Formats: sequence, C-alpha cells, structure tokens
Amino acid sequence: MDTIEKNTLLYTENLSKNFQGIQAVKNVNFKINKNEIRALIGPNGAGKTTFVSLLCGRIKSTNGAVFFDGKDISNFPVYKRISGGIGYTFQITSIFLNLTVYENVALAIKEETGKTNSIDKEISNVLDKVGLLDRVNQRSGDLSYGHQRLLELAMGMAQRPKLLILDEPTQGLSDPEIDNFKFLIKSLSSSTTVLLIEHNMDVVMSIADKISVLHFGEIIAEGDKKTIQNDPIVQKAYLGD
Amino acid sequence: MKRDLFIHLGAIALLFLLEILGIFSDYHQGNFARILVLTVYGIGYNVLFGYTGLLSLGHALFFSAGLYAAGLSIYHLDYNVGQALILAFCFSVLVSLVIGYLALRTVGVSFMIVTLMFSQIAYLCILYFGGITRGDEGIVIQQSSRVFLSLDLSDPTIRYYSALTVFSFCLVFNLWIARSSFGRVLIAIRENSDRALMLGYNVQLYKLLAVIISGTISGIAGASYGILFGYVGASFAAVPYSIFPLLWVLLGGAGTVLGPLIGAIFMFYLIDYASDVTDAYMIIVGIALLLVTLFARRGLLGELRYRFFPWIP
Repeated sequence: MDTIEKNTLLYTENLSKNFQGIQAVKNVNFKINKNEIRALIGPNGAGKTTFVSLLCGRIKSTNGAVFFDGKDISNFPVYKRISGGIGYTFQITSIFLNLTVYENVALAIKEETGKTNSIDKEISNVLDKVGLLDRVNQRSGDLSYGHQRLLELAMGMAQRPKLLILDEPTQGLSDPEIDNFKFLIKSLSSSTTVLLIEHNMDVVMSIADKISVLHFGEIIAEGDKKTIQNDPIVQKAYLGD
Repeated sequence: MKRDLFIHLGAIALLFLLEILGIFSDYHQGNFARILVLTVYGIGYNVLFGYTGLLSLGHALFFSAGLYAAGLSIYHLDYNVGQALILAFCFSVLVSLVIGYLALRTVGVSFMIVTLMFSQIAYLCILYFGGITRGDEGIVIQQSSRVFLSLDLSDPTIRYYSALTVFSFCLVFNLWIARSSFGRVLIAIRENSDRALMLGYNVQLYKLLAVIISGTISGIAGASYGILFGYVGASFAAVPYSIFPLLWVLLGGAGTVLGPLIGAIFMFYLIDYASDVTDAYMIIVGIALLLVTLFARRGLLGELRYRFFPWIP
C-alpha cells in the first residue's frame, strides 16, 4: 500500500467483512487524503455501503483495521467515531420526520444549551447553504423528497465532520436539484473531505478528484477520471464480457 | 418562548388556588392529593415512554421500590420522614440503574417483557418475604410517624400541599428536561434511534439515564404515596400498577409535560363516576378509553398539540 503521508485523513489495512460465509468486503487497503472528494463506485452489491459502514462503525469488521486522523479507531464504538469527526448521511433518507427542520439541524450540531444564539446562527448558516432557510420551522416530514435529501445533507454539514460520507446522495433528485447538489459538495471541499458513493456518473465525473472502484468487495481500480474511464478491468466489471 | 413556562406554572398556580380559595370539597381535596402523587408516577413513566420511546411494562417495580424503601425504614427502623425519603431516593436510583443496565440489553417487545418479568420478581419477593413486608396485607404507617418538619402529613390540607409540592418539583423538572438539549436527544432517540447514533450520540447511555430519571421519579412517587396515605401494600407492586401510568400517559398525551396530569384526572374521575352508575363500571371505563383511542389517538393534550399548539413541550 502507499505510504501514509501527513495529509492522509483515513486509511484502512486489510479491512474485511464476512456475512455468514459471503465475503462482502475483502482485504481492502484504502486511503483518502484531506480535502479530497473521493467517489466510490461499483455495480450493485459490490459492497460499497458495507465498506463505508465499516469505516463509521455501523457494522463491525471481521478483520483489518481503520485509522482515522492518526488514530486506530478499529475498536471505537459508532458514537465515538462520529464524535471524532466522521459524518455519515444515509442512502435511504433518515431524518427526524416529526421534528422541525430547525430541530433536525440542532441535533446534528450537538451543542449544549446556553449558547442558543451561536447555534441559531450556525443553523441559519447551514440551512441557507442548502436553500432550506425559509422552511426552518416546518415539520421535516412535510418536506418534499428532494428537500428531505437536502436536509440530510445539511445535517451532515452541520456536524462539521473531518470526513463526510455521503451514501448515494443524489438518488431520486431532479436535474436542477442535482446541479445544486454538485455545487454544494464542491464548496465543501475547502473545509472537509468527502467520500461519496454515487451511481450517477455525471455527478462522479464532474466533482470527484479521485475515483475508487469496488467490485465483489475488492478495490479493482483507483485513480483520476481518465484512468478509470479507460481501465479495461473497470469496463469489464460494469459491462460484462 | 416563555408561554410554555407560563402554562405550566399556571397549572401549578391553579391547583394551589383551588385549595387556598376553598373550592375543593373534602372529598375532592383527598382525591386530588392522590391524583397529584399518582401524576408524579405518570411523569416518571412519561420520561421513559413519552420522551424516549421505551415502553416498560414493569414500572410498578420502581414505584414500589420507593414505597417500600420509605415504608419499611419507617416501620422497622424508626426512620423519620426525611431520612425515609432520602433512603427511598437513593434506593430508587440504585434499582433503576441496575434494572436499566440489564433491561437495556434488549429492545422493543423484549424490553417490555424483561421489565414485566423484573417487576413480577419484585412483586413475588414482597409476598415471599411476608415476615418483613407483611405481604398482601401490607403495612400501615402510624400517624405519629408521618410528621415532617413538625407538620402532620396525615392532615388533609397539609397532605394536599405536600402532594402539590412534590408534583410541582417533578413537573418543573420534566419541563426543564423537555426544553433542554438532553431532552431533545431523548426525543431524537424515540423518533429515530439509528439516526441519533449516527449523529454521534451515545444512545445506550442516554437510554440508561432516561431509565434512571424515570425510575427515580416513580420511586419518589411511591415514597410520597406511602408517607402521605400511610399504607404500603403488595398490590402497588402488581401488574395493574405498571399499566396505570401507561394509561394516564396515553390518555393525556405521551411526550407532553402536562399529559400525565390530565390523564390521571380523567381516569380517576372516570372510574369514580362510572362506579356510581353501575357495579360493572369497567365497561363504561373501557368504552370511554376506546373512544379516546379512536378519536384522540395522541391523547387529549397530544391531540391539541398536534392540531393547534405545536409549541407545547
């Protein structure tokens, strides 16, 4: 594996996951640098969601180690990994439907009471970025699907994570919504690192700095757009023989 | 956002005025003293069920932990009321810590069953150790032992004010929780615990704290009940006393601060009036509960909050 440089934010060593004999993730050595936008692509069932779940601790690995921000976090419980700076947004929208937009973001910020003013400011700031500021007091369950996805992203941003993992964030969004989304992610990269699972190749090609391809639980290719587009193994994995 | 504080302090003031202006008859004064103590129990239950979304079927265990800690220490060890209350408080914290730690290894239906089983164990222990607890028959705490700061707690007026004091403290505490960031996390766990976890909250720890707060408030209710009404019996540890707070909370509105009070008043007087009409009063009670469930699924206050006043905590 590549040398671990100073600006490496997260890397894994032989990370593996077995589900009753089925190896969903196989000996993955993965590395992501600070302020990078990395796309993780691969056919359905390649193990993408499983892999990122191993990173944030939702699923316990069978083997291997995860290092984040210079620490071995392999044995950290989920909440400790998240508090340590890993943000995760769900593939299937997972927000607090009965709470208002404001409360959803406030929960993500995780500040103690007493600093209400600065929290309000932060909430307004984040909601303004995703364009939901005028809906701040609306029940999030009453939002349209597109807006719920944006709220999910706003919650991820509000956590101010060092690494933001986005699991298929553009799924089910309309074209203008996707354009807005691409712009948002690009603007994030100055302050955070983004790991993006995405099926929409247009999104991947236009915002990712680097692409990793996962196939049957293994990383079969890694590199910039051109390298990936021209890689015969990738083409085979996607298109078949 | 002071209007929520206003209505809750207003409710306390109203209960105070009803007494000081002499509006209560002796009968209703006695009823309300009882209702207020039972509401404290409901408030305790609501912290766990209404706010955190954990349905326990064994809260009689916590109620009777306080009840028996206070009652037995007064009866056997000649503790005064202050000492008994402190003991009951500490014992309730301990019991809820241990039960919470064990029961929270389960979720959902298993959690309901495990809490029910722990509660049944406690109930059967009370019966089994009848030499100490006097089992079903129970213990009567003498009037001479029910004195606190030279106030005779068996006097109906003093008893009412004592009940109101305990109630007020617990209500305000509940309101504080509901408005705090801690309470917001509890609600987040109720609404979507997976998401709460993925926002970096130690969900297990929050749940444990909720059980401890809920169990301790329930224990305080039990201790107050024993001391104010002078009776400590095994029936308070039996299954119906685990179901009552659930009913009060559901009727009044789960996850509303004033819900348990409204539910307890409603239920108490429903039974009271229905039993004037017929011996088979549970039929009337049952029909009334069905109607509320059908037409106000969120409970009386919960429905009002949903339709008109979303700011009610």
